[in-house]
Amino acid sequence: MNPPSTSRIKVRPATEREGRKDYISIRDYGFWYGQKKALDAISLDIPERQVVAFIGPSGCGKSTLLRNLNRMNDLVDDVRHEGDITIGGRSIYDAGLEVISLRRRVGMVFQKSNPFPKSIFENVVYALRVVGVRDRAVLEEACETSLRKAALWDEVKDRLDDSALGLSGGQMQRLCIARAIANRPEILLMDEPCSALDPIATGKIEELIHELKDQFTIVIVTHSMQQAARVSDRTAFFYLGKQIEYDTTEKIFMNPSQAQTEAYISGRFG
Amino acid sequence: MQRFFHDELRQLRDDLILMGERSLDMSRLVLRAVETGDDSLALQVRGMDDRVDELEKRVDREIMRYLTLFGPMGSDVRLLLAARDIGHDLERIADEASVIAKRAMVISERGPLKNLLHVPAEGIIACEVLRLALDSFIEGDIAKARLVLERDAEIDALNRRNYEELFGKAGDTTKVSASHVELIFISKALERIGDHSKNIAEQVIFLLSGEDVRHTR
Amino acid sequence: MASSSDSSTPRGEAFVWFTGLGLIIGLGMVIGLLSLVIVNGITVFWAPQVPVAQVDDGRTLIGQLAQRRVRAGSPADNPRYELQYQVGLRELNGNSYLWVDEAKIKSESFPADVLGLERVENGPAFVRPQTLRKSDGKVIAATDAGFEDAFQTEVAAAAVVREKLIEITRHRIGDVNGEMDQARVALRRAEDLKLADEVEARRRQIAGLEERFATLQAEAKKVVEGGAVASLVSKDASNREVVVPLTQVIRAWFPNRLDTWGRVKLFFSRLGEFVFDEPREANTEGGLMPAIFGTLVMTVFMSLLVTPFGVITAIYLREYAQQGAVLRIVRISVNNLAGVPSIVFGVFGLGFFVYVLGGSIDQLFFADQLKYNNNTPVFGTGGLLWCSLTLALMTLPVVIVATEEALAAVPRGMREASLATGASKWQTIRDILLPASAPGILTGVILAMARGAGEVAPLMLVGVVKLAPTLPFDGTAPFLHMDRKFMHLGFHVYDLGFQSPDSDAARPMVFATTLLLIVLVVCLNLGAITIRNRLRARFKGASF
Repeated sequence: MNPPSTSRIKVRPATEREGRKDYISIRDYGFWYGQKKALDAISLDIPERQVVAFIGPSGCGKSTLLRNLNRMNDLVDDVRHEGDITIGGRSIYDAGLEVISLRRRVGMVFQKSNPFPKSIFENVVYALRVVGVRDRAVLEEACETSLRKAALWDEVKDRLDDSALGLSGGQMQRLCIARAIANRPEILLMDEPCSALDPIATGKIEELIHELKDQFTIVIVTHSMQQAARVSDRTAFFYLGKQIEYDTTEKIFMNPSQAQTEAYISGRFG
Repeated sequence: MQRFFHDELRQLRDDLILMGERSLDMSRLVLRAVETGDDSLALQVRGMDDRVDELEKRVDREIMRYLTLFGPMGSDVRLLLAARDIGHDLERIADEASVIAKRAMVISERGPLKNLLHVPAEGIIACEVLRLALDSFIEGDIAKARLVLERDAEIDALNRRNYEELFGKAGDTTKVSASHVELIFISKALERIGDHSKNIAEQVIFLLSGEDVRHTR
Repeated sequence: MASSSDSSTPRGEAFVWFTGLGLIIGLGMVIGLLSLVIVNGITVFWAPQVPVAQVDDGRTLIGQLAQRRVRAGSPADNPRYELQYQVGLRELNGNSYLWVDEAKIKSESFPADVLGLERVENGPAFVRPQTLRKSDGKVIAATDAGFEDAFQTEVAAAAVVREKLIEITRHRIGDVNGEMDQARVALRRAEDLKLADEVEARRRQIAGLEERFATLQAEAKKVVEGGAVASLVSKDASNREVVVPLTQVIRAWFPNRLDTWGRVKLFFSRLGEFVFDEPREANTEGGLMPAIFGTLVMTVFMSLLVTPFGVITAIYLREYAQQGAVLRIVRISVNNLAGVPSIVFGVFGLGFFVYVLGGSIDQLFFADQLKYNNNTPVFGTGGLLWCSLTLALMTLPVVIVATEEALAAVPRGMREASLATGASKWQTIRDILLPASAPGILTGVILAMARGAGEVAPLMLVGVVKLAPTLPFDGTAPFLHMDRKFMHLGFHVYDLGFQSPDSDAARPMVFATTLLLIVLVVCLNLGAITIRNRLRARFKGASF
């Protein structure tokens, strides 16, 4: 058992960490699945090296918005959007931008952990192989770094060549996080990463997010308000595709401006 | 499992202890001001009150934040509730010390008093009891907290004797000077400091054992 | 409140029994088929006792009992049987097999001196040996003590001589003939193009080859006449004298003298010959090596051809093609292709692959051959390549459908995870989807192999022959001859059963060949299943 310890890495407070305020900028963004409008005039700025949580009831569009940040919704037929999303000043819909290069800068972790049916090592270094890295030494070093950052190294360092499918649920999700950060993306998107995990595993992942936020910009969709309150610096509340309120987490949870927000967080919704 | 936000709880405790030490410093300083008639000490005490007020607001913010964001359970909840009350009591103690400082300056304006009645003794006991209450919180020592509840009676007794000696059994006010009236105010303030220390001790007992011992004496 | 159906047994229990019954019927049919084939096939190799039978009308028979059936026209309540004996000595008896009314057989005995012979020509013989003339000239009587040993020794020696002869005539002379053909073609071409030097060189080459030919022929003659060849003098059932040179004898055994262990050894020896030797006597005797080889090579080729085509097509259909009406039509067409009768594929193979493609290849690359070798086509006629292609085409839908299913079954999350990492669509397919669907793809290949290995009809049109002079895979460059015709087990069964001149002799072989075909297909499938199981173990989480 790991002995109880304070956070190993000294994580700077939110205001100290914050970089460019409009690192990810969403402007008047609307999105349709066929005829159905899933997002309506979303405008928010996600600063660098902050954790932003998207909360809201089911179907409010938070996952849709997240998946549009790395254009995963391009895989779905019959979708369209209006407005724009820029990362680092450049639109993600820019004609000259290859979607692949966008996705290499933006890592993603999914609700249901989805490791490849390969060894643990191969899973972690997949992103590096994809960009053409072949040097074994480089791959091994990157693998160790990522697994350490994902707080999984000690548990798997002796069995890197075992199948990834033999890990427990929480370990698999941490492996997916390691895989997502292996190629050092700047941004990490997490779509309800803990919803399939038990409280201990969830706690470990929240600790992990806390440590990662010193280096990565993290956007997390969660159906647990408590989780959003614990880990995020800013929170956006969505309802029926509209952005209701977006502010610092303290403001949203201690004294929200909108009555809908208040109703949702106090559980009086519906 | 220690979580990253548990650090904030530790920070809260530290801030509370800081408040306690400040209030205690203020009380000791102000007693010396009363005994020596040194106005500079009195002024210093009045300045320190502002800082304690700031600390109280900070502690309250921290409590609000922790309650809202981190969903505490068990003893953490009692800590947060107790911290709120302890903070208020410490702020009131600092206020009382500030009041004593003002009274001391009024007295010294008129010239030094020869007979301070039992006020110095009362003050010493008040400071001792506050120290005891603070230690019971810092060390998590429920025995010390219970001792505080007992010793508060001593302060009350000394306060009553101050009254009796000054006004006599018949409540004769003819031979009383204005400075002595200030002294009575100071005695009352010290008695209230003792009460606040008692409140602190009651909160510590609640924190440590979950038992609500208020209003039982 | 309690109704008649208020019992706590779950409803529908009867259906469990029905499904069990269905399973038993199916299993029973399979086992029945296998047993029939095994029993009829295995008896070919077993050597029972051979009786000497005295028939009513004074005839004597020496022969192995082959069949027993009810005489035509005999009354139902008192059936009369007739027995079929394999007497051999076709050159004397006209027929290897003889039917005799069971009732007419007066007596049967099993004398120990009856000898069974398997011969190179004219089939088997059952005789009673009199004398053995050894290769050193000495003569031994059958009644002498060392007769059996001397006899077997001589048979072995004769076999060596026979092998040498085959080597010279078939292989070395065959090689020379082949070179001579090529040289003649080159000569005619040179003459045609009026290249005087070339003509001179070729004429000299041909002269040299003819010299070699003559040398080899002389060598062969020497071998034949060289040692005096041993021979056996025997009497047949009718006391006629039969002289058998021992080079004609492939195997000899005394059926009434063998103990069980001896019979078992003989059984395995025959089995070995069946699997590893070449056929004799219009495929009714001997072994099936060429047919086994041909079937194996063709099935392997077919699998190698169909797998990439099928997988690539399926990948395109599922991953790259635009969803829409056109795609649906394509998919329907692919599925319907699976229902087309196989002979239609044969006709297509003949018309398109052989005539059009093969003809074009011949025009482009083998024009000389055509011109100077009497228009003998190389690829413009049936052969291994066209057979493999035709069957690959026929089994293509199976592989496509199986691959599509396998790809579709890969969880969506895996696809998304790969794409989210920044992999391109092709990288995702190559590194994640294909390995994950490999077990399913292999299932498709197994099905394709099973179907292809058993098809005969299309092969008859595109390249299978009754008797192929050479194997498609041999020592001469380019080692793999895709243009050659080959033999096939399935075709062999058809040929034996319906086309052979001596249908009685062919009957046992039909069953034995069928058994061999079943065994071959089962082995191929087992091989593929083993590979698939290993792949499954590696991808523990896959849904197959």
